[in-house]
Amino acid sequence: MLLYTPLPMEVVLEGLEKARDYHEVQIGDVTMILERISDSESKIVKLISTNPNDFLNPTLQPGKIVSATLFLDKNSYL
Amino acid sequence: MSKKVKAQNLEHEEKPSSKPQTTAENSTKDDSIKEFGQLELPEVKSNIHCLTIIGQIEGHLVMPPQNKTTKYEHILPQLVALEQSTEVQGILIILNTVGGDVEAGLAIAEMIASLSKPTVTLVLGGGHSIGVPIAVSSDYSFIAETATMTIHPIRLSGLVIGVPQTYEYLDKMQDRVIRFVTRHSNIPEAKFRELMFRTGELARDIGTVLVGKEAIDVGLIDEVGGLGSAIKKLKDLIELCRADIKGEM
Repeated sequence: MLLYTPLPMEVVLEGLEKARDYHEVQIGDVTMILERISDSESKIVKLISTNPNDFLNPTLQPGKIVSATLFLDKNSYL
Repeated sequence: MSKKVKAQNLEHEEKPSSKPQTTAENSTKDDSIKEFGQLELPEVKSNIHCLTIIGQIEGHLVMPPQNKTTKYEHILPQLVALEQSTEVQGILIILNTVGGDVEAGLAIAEMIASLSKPTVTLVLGGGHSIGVPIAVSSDYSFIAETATMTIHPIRLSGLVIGVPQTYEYLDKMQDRVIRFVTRHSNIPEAKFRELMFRTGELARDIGTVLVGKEAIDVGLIDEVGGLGSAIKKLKDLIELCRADIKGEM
């Protein structure tokens, strides 16, 4: 990998080895990778979709917090 | 049953038909008060889309969470959607980046350069390293008076073998960046190389920091300006684009 940045490598790559809790979920038509941040909430890491418009959807931007109920509870389902 | 399986089962049992429910909308309103201390902004229909390139440009490696990142795998399909969109007529790219992955940065820069719609870039704060090719990839580029751009040689991370081939490889990678920048801006190749390898300017590295107007003087950026001038230029370019299409018909 080639990093081109004025920041020192140690600063950029610090904590790289730490394992993160990723899981894959399908909400509506979009499959996405989520990172679990608590029992009830997950954060969007990336979308897996071939529809370019999904990537412009403001509710599906990386970093958005998704409630676990969104894909577990039928009533609050998209 | 795992969450994933449950979610997928739901998907099979009942195909969702409607849009996101209202509680989700309410929660966004609450969020904007909580996170930004302000009410939701009024919705303005705009024919301009704003793309922000911030922090590290994340490439093949997921960055540790202390980095703010721009994810290229998210930006690329966004650009595809923008190119196809009938509503969006121009794209404003705002940069405040410390660089990052060479391949990801060049990928974004090539995508922006090949868009058929008018594009304007505005460098605020900093557009360093691999941010430089992105900054020059648009039709017209602006830099804020106080913004800086660092131009320095590429470094290899990880295991580096001290053989001549390593140097040749780095040189090749560097040439990709240099060629892109010189093709999309007015800076001559010799000048860019000179800035890249200048000694005595940076404390910890070789290279140059260009502040505001200096970037225009060397031919890298087109104009010093802020938001107002960037939007005005973009609107002018959109008008020109429209006139061209009409002229052809």
